[in-house]
Amino acid sequence: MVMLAVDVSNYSVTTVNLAVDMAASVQTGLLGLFIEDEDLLQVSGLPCTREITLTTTRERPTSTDQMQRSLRSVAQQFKQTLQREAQASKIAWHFDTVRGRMRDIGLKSERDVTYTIFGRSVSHRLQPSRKIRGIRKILLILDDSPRQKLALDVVLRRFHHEKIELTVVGEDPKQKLSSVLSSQIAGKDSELELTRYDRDDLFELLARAGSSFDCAIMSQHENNADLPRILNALRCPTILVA
Amino acid sequence: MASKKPVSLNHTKLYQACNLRQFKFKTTDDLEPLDQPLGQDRALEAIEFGVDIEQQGFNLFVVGDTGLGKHELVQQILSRQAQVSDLRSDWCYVNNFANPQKPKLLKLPAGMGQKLRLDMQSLVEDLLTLLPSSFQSEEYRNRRQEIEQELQDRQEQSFRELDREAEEKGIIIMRTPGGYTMGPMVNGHLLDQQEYAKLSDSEKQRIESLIADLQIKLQSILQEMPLVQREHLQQIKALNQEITQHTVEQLIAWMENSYRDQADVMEYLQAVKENAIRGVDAFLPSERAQETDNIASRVAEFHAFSINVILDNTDTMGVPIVFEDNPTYQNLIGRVEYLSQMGTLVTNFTLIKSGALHRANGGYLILDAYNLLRHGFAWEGLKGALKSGEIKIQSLEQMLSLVNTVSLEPESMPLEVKVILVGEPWLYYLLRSHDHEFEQLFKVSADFAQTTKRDSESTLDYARMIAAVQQKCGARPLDKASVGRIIEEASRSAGDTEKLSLHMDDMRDLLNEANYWAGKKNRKIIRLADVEQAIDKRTRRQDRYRELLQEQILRGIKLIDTEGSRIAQVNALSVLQIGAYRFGQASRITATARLGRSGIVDIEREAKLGGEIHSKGVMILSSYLAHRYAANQPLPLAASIAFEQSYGMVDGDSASAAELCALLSALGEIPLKQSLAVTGSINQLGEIQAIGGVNEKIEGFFEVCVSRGLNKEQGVIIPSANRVHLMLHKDVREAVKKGEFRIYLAEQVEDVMRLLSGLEPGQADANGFYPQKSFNYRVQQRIEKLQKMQKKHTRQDWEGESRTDLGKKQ
Repeated sequence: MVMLAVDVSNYSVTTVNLAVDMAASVQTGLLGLFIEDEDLLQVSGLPCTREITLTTTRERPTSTDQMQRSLRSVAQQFKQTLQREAQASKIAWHFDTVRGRMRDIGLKSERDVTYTIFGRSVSHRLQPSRKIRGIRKILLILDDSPRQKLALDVVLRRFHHEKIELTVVGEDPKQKLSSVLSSQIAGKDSELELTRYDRDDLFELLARAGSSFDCAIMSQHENNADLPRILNALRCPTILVA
Repeated sequence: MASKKPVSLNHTKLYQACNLRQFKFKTTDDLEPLDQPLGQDRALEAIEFGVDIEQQGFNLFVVGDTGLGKHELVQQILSRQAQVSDLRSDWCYVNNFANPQKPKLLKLPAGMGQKLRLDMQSLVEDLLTLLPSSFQSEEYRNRRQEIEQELQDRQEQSFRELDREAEEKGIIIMRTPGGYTMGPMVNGHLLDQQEYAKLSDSEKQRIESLIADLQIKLQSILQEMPLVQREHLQQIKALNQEITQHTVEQLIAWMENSYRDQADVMEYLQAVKENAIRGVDAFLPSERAQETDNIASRVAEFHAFSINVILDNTDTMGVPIVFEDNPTYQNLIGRVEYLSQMGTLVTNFTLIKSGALHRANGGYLILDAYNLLRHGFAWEGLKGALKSGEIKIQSLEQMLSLVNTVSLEPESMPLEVKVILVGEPWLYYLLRSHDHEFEQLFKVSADFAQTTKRDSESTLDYARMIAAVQQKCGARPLDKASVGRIIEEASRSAGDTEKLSLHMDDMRDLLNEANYWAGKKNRKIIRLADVEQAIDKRTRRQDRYRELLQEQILRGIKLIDTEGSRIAQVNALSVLQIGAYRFGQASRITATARLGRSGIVDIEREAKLGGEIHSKGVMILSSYLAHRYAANQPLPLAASIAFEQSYGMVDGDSASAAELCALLSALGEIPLKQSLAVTGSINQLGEIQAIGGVNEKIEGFFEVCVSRGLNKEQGVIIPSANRVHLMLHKDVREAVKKGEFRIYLAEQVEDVMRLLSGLEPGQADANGFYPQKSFNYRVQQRIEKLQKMQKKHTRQDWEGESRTDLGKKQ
């Protein structure tokens, strides 16, 4: 199963599409999980708290109830988007809402979930016009899993016709990556530029360019201490491969 | 004036046959075809003058009946004229980028319009190919990435700094569905409501103060975001323009080189350049663009950069000669077409269509006047264009202010055209008398003659004209007898032995029909029999109604006597016309006469079935009667005249002689021969005047007599002046030759009465009395009788009135 975990600040249609493509590729169902951020609900009940609206920059008082309603509204939108996109691709889907923290719930290994996709919004970042093909940047933190190659295949297909900068972190002793890339690129209109980094340079890379990636793929079994740091540095949908 | 005894005409005087001995050819193949129209010298001069003169308002109206060859002649003269001049231009409508509602007009040397259109099409194709390539270039993508990265860095930097400051102050900033919120933290732990409530007031105040301070900073960052984004967009726009300008300028440079002598085109290309740079997004692939979308299909979307060549003179030789056979307002002036898109009608300058005036600009426009006037507002539109000297394309709705919707107002085209209207005389005179602008705009008239004189020279020319028509129609050659027969038919059509009809259509039709019958007999040459057959068959095809009328006479339904004598009854003759077919018909005229004061009553007029000319004829005969028989005394007469069994309008005065004879017969109780029919009009002096359709009238009565059997007494009395019009059918001529039928010429009413009554008119003596055996005596006697009766009645009336008056006094 593919699980898409989003909260109020990390939900976008693009992420839903990526999850749907992923589920369709592995021919499995999709679980859409909306996480009601309990920290946010807690803060909203404090008398000193105000909300600064993004569109008007005005402040307005908050309450737990009002925040609860807002979160349900976003969850409903997420559900509708999930339903529409999943039905269009004819895949089985399921939706659930839980209260907690994104990191705690999303990183919890579920036995039947093979891919977990973390929604990360890029709301502050202007997207280049689709009329002008931009450069897609993908981060791949290597492990030796065949599922990771499948995830890469899905991502490359999504950026068909566009120039891709693939940043690979880690060793590829059996040169499996090269063969995957050859088969992915063959016969397609993509331009691909490959950059390799050692695993030791990962955090330096994330500090420098973590917010510039369009998608990231890594193992769910990354070091428990490293995984939150990596996710924190990224501003893009991230596929965790079980 | 004493009346001479009328004589009947010899059969040789009834037809003017063509003298075949003057023809030196065997067939028309031996003849040099006539290249000038016969008998139209006056019209020819006028057309040449009208075409040559260049002043404004000297447009031409070619006047003449249908079938005279007006169009042919005009085309012939113009073709000669048109080859002289070679001033041709192409005209194109192009987009007005500053105001698309008012498309601009470009004038280009002939052939350049299409070139510009193709060049612009290539330009758009190149832009569609090269601009996306430019935007996919490594250079562009890197520069754009730099700009975007800079924006991202600026935004993240602001947020990161605020985040750090908040963290240092123990505040957490969180995203909400609608924006941001902040909450207090203690040792990395977010405070809940209970914990917060336990805080001291000063601590709460401190936290609130911190949050308020951070909120102000957050608001400042958020407020700055649109400005940063705007700045970013401007940077991208500037980059896009820089890339576009470079590509567009390179592409347009070679076009500017090609059109540097055309100031208008250069100005247009400058506008194209500016607009291509401004609207570069349109040239880039759309988000919905399919891989299958090719450049050619996308070019169609860029109509703003296309060229609408409304007048293409690439292949035109000489000046244009345009004949518009459907001169509607729009076909003349041009129109703006619309496309239906999602239930809305939309238009643009590429949908501007030229009219005949555009196509004829710089040359000649030939129009059929009747067709022009038949189409609503076409005449007004033409006059407007000629007066203003420009073609302004606007819809009728706009012209009449019937709609207020936004539409195009294309730039007007300067107009320099010679308009040639072709029409029948009644149209010409109608326009002259009712349209005061007509004379100012159509100063030259070319009047086509309907007939030409028939002499040996014109007969030979006519034969050459037949040869020309025969060759043009691809018909078989004609031998001299058949040519002669066609010429005789032309004379018959003219209704005059000394004239030839110039109705070319009739002659062409006859020739083609004769050719058809010759073909049926596998002849290589058209012979006399073929022409005769063509004439007979044509008559037969049209003859059904005449036969029907004839049948009614023979069955005694329509009463016409052809033998014996009757008082107050005369056979008159009239002509009926059904389409182009004319035939004669006998009608019975009767009269009654009695004492009275009402004079002569024209029953047709009283029944409102008589035309004005007919009424005039009856008044003239009344006047003649009074003058002739009651010059010094009152005429106490109540008479009436009627066309028997006539149920339609009767007009013309050709029956006035017959009507007078019927009246004289009624007055003098004189029996009149029914074996004779009469045609002719009279004047107040009793002279018989010429009438029209004499041949058809004679043949009409002849047919009736033949059907009943000719008795050697029958004949027709015609005005003497009509002798030159006789071109009678062969059957009539044969009958006259055998003495079975007679044609009498009459100059005076007395000639007619003498023939009808068999009585002499007699010569009045010194006292004005006529000899007893004359018909005038009988009339005179009857009138005297009426006068005496009137005096008697008048006296009785007077005495009666006196007695009544005396009684009253007593």
